[in-house]
Amino acid sequence: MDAISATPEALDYFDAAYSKLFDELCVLCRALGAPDEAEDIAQEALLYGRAHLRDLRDERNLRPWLRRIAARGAAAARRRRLPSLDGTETSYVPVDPEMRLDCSEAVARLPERERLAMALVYGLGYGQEEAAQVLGVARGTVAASLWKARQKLARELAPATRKELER
Amino acid sequence: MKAVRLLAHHVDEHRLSEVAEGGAGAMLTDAEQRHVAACDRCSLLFEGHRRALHLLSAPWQRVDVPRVSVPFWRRDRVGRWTELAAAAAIALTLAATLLYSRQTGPQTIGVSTSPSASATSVPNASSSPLPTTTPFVTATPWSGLPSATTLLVVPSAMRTNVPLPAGAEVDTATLVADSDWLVMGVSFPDAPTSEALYAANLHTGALRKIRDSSAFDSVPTAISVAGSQAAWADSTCESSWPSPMPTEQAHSLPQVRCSSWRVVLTDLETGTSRVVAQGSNPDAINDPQDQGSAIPIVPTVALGDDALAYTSGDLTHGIELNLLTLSSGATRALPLDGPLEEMSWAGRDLAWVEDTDLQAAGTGPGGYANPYYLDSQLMVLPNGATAAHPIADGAYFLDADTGEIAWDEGGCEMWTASAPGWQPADTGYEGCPAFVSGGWLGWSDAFQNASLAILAPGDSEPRGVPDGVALTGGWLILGSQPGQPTGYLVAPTQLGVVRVSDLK
Repeated sequence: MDAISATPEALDYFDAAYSKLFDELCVLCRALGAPDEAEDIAQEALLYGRAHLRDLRDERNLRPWLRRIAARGAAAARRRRLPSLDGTETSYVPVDPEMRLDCSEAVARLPERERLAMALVYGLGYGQEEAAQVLGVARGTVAASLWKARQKLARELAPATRKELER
Repeated sequence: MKAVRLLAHHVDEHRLSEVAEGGAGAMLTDAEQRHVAACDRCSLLFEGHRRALHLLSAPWQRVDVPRVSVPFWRRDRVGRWTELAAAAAIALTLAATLLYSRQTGPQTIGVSTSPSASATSVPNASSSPLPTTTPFVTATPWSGLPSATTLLVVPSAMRTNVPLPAGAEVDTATLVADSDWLVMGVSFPDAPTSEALYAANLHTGALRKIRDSSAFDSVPTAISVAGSQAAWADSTCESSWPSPMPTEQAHSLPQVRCSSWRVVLTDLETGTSRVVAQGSNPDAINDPQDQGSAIPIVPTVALGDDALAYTSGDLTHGIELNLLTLSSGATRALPLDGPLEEMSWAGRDLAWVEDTDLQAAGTGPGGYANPYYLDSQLMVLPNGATAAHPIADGAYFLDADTGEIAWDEGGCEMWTASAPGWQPADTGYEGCPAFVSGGWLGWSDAFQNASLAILAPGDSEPRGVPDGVALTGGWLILGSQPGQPTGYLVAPTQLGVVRVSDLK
């Protein structure tokens, strides 16, 4: 497949889609644990993408390519972040007000790859293939991460059931 | 009265999860209901999955939670005294390891392949049995789930460091070894690309990139290694994206279409690759296990001794299994009833997981755009046979070595079968993925105190390997990741290996 060579038409398409792409990448970065840096990362990803548009062989890959760039930026931001003084961290987790148990911690405690896979698939509604592209891993890795995470959550939440039954 | 535990009678966890999810027609059978009602383990797991799925479907928000820094021994919320006991056990282990290392002393062959890597070491030929197997205190409500209760800490003197490119993170799901070669999927955190494939020679310390990372193509799949050759499938796929853009709460099915596929065979000694087979526009099926995502049906690849197996074809004309003899170039083809999900050589016999129970497009939850399969079977094709025979239903995470295969069923319940009868046997252990190599079994021990559990041939007691990653090609792969607690390995940045034969 030939490169699209950053033609004026391609640049026009890119610029027209800028606002939507920016919003989507911000959402992605927040889900990937970089809420404070999301807008900067999204803008950097788009600037990088526009500057390197000639490298893109197929314009249909534009969005996954930008997502991947943004995901890398979010990962770098997570690594750079200093621990907060109050001992907390902002995490993208499901919040169910009906559950008496505080489940946010259970999700936040999952290993990073499992937590990110869950955030993408359950939080953002990505398919496993999409999540795999964003995380740069095989689809099977995402599937295994999701299953392991669900197993762990089930085991975290089951003891609460036992306590309720014993009550 | 002697208590007898019937391992095989639990309702498998995938089944419990499926019913908890309330999929189309998902209900427990009468027998399953009776078992769940009487079984503490199954009823709690069922309720746990129901709650987990309910939680995951709740609105996702950004909230402040206490910073999580949980040592691996706290995964089961054990009490403070147990934590102290565990910490003491680890301290003793480390002390014993240090003492052992000083007493034996590593034999350094002086190969350092990356600036951060220390000298590569080979095991002492006269090494005595490992002194570092330490009884480990565990406390878990899941006493019904057998797992490793002793830890195996492999001394540094026994490890051979695996060279890695600078700054690389290894995908633990893509680690395949045979003989002296280890092929691994590698990504770079600061580069906007997908996985590259690297091959490391575990004998000489040589490192070779065998497939570039790419931001444009799908990651390579179905990687297998035999001797000094590796094969994999490459597909170039595009996703069609929902419009309007997904919001934080939106959920829509992606449509994946692949424009081309190819089967690549690489000589790891020279780095030369050749395309063995290729095609375009493979049919897609929807996968009910992946929220209905579309996936291509071909190819699936498995490389064995002088034999390469790969699938081709389409749903209209049929899917074929091609068996290529590498030395002669001779090929024979066998018709298949459905696409293959996984395939692996067990010596000269070939095992695969084949989709069954085809459903038409337009049916399924929401009306899938493509056909889909509801079930699968584990098949074995004995050497020289013209037809395969089924040996189990619903297998996944298939792994194989000469004369033996291992796979998972349901809730990561590990099963094995051996040549020539290939009679399935429940190992009684839980964890996925399953590994089998040289008579050793391994499984990811996600719920206990280690990343990996291993069981030596003839042993009845598995051992947990805190930094274990995989068991493949006669090697135990160990990994570490700065800042990540032991037992929580995600993407190792350092790898070491030890021959499993040196562990016994």
